[in-house]
Amino acid sequence: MELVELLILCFFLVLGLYGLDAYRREQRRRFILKERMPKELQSARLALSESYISTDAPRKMHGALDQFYRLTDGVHVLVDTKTRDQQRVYRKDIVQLSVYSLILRRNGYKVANYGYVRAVSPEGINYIKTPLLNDEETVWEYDRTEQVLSKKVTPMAAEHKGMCASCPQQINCDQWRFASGQ
Amino acid sequence: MKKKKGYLSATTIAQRSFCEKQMILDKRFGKQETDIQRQRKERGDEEHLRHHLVARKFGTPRDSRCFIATELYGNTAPQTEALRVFRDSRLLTCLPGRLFTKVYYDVSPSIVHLMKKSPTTKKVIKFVIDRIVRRISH
Repeated sequence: MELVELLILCFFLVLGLYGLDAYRREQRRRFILKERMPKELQSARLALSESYISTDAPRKMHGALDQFYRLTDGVHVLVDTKTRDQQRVYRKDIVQLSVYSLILRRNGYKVANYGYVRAVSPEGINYIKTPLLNDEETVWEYDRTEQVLSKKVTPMAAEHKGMCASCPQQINCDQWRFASGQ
Repeated sequence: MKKKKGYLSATTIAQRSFCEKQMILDKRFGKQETDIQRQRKERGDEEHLRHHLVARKFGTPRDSRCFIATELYGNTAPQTEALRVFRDSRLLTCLPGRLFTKVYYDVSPSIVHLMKKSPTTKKVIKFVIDRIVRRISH
């Protein structure tokens, strides 16, 4: 009789654990469905979220990444959320992700040479796969920023007229592209 | 994000690639924002927080520590990484594997404690884990 009771107890214990597991899987399935995540991220594990990262070498840089996933093969992938009217990736997004990637590699992580921009717009959510800059190009971006900030080089204006259209510094800018009908 | 002296932030480096002039003007006159940009920023911050909370809950936020392997080989050792890959690709893909992982996370801190106290226990466990690592690495 004792054995039967023990077996029943074990049965309900396993059933309970299975129920909990099934509930969790269902919640996760809904999350993935809503997110429309790429396949490789669906099986990945979230390693870091909204985390502060920094490095001293090759240059002193820091940042706060959005999400960082570890794929099943051990490689890590960065995800950065951008809330915009249009679902598109700008060069500044690639630079930002590349800086995070360099910092994380310096911290011992194996990071993929691409990342995802999680574009959130009125159309919905879309994960846009983006190739990243290599370390040399990222260091060049850092050095150029430092030179501009320390006034060692003359700052250049935006490349396209469209970039100036919504610039909040229009009033202070002598190179604002609408000023002289450029 | 906290400001660290002498460090350049990823956002600053990224902004330079958009417009160097704006970066300098921001530094000189302070950051300016139009109403639309302020609204967008608020919307963005809200979305970041919402997604952070949801991703932590359902983006497989389970503890990723391999306690025993970390104690035996170190956190970034190839053996620890091999065990992590095995856990993610094999164990977590089936119910018995997930149950085993759950039980493992419950009992492993006690085993690690025992290993720290008794070098003999550590030797025995290392012998077993070495064989497992060798087997799953092939």
